[in-house]
Amino acid sequence: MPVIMFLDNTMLINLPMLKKGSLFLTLIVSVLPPVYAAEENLQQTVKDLRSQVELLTARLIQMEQRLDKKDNAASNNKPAIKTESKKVEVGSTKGSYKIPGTETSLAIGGYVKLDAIYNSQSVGGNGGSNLGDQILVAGAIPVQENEKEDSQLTFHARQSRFWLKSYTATEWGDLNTYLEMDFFAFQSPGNERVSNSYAPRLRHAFGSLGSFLAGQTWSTFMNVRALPELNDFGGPVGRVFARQPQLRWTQAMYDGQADWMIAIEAPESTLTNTRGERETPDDDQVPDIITRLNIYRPWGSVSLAAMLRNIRSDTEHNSDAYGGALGLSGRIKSFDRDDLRFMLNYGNVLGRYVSSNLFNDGAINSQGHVELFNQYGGFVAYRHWWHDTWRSTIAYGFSYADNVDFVPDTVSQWAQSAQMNLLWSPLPQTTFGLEYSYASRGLENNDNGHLHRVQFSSVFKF
Amino acid sequence: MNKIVLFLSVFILLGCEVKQTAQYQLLDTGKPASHAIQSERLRAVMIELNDLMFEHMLTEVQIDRQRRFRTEEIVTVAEKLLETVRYIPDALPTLNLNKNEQHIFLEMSKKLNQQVSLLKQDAENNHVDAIPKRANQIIETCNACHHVFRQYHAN
Repeated sequence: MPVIMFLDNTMLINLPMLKKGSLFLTLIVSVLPPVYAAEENLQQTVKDLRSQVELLTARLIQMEQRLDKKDNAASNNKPAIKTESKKVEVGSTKGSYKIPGTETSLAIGGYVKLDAIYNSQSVGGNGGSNLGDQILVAGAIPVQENEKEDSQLTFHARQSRFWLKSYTATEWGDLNTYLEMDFFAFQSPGNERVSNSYAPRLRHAFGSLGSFLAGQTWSTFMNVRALPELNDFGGPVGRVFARQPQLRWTQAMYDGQADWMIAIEAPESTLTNTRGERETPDDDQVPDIITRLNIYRPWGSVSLAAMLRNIRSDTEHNSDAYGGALGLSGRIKSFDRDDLRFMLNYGNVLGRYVSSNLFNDGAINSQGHVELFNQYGGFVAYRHWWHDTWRSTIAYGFSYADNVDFVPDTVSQWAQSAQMNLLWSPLPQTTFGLEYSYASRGLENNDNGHLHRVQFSSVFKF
Repeated sequence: MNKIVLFLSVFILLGCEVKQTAQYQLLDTGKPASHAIQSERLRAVMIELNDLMFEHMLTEVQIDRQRRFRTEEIVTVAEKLLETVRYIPDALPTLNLNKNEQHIFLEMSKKLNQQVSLLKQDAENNHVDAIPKRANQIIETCNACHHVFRQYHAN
């Protein structure tokens, strides 16, 4: 409907509201004689309105000027506040963010893990937490009747960990820094009576620029990718496992299909004395020298490592011995998502590098002379995926030492372990698993001890 | 009677022949098979990328390095996918679709091309977190297209 408004004998037509059908009628109405008669009044009204608008505009300008004066006065008393803020950008590594104004990507992460473990044999003791009951330490498997207790249940969350990393791409190559901690500190005052308060400990702290790495991390002699996926934190027997401060160079070769590493790492000699006890004289003067070749192919990866060590003691008088070790390890892809992992090692200075220091690096006789002895070991593990979220690993490992004659027959001669598990990850961030372990240790005098363990674990990553 | 049997036999044989020819035409260019192979490779790399979540012993720096290898591979796969995806419209004449269906087929092909380009971009920029979503979108588009048009063709 057209809208026709009469104000003080004037007529206004609201044109936008005209509809096609009523246009003709509106035109007729608009040309009626009263319209002509009102023309003068209309012009007068427009004039009045214009003057009012001019007056209002003038007042508005005055008010704006007053406000500007106030703002200027305020800004003279206060420092200017930057309103511009930089957006936080997604970083160049998974789950990272760029520190505003830099090219450095920063990320934190980790996981919370609970282990509930039933042991058929316990290393015993009262009140404290026994590491050998919480993780598989081959050298702690009870052998003598007076050192073991039957059936023990333990719960702990000490493997929970957190890490902080940074990544920056530079003209010198990638600049990485990494810090990682968990709660397996040996000096922890924790007990299981009230609070289970375990202290954090340093696992990794290193930086790398391009091919150069400096800091504490996995030993170059150890191929981490070959380790099996187990609930147990200490197994299998026969694995090379050491974290220590080092300087390392990694040279990529063949378009990333291989790399070669060379490193000098922190030395630490562990010796068996004539009473069969462990000595760590801390008299080392030569770093452990390690080199490793890694080959990456579509079917998997293989590593060959070699190590040269100087085992030294000043306890009675200066004595040292040079020795070496070789390691072959790998992860080979199998059917579908399955894989086979293995590690084999041999040498006369394997000592603290294998099976959580089951054997020492050498022995020291009654005259204080260091002697080395051959050791070998390894493991093989197979991981099978039952389903996208269900998988199992079965692993077997062993270690053997050809001990020198002057050590007592109560020292360890061999150890072995077998493990199998069923793991379920309903989400990539969570894993629930049940694992059975069997482990045994034999002494030179043919005594041996056995351990059966059932372990439930839950992992929640963040 | 013999003539009827002979006639029926020829009819059945011809019918079979026509059917076989039609099936052959769908695979004629080999391009759809080629993009399917790349999609399968992409799926395998995505699984490898996902499995890195279960590595508890590697440091995050080592895992990042592994991720980078995988993203480089994803770039390569995406490039090969892009090469094959642009030939998908060539299969159009073999499908006997009406105009509306042809439009849908071409739009899906275009969408796939865009999704693969974005995947390649994310992989090149090492935006690991964005890659699974992109890969899933590609797989969904592939599945949707195969479901509609392979089914249609079979009918």
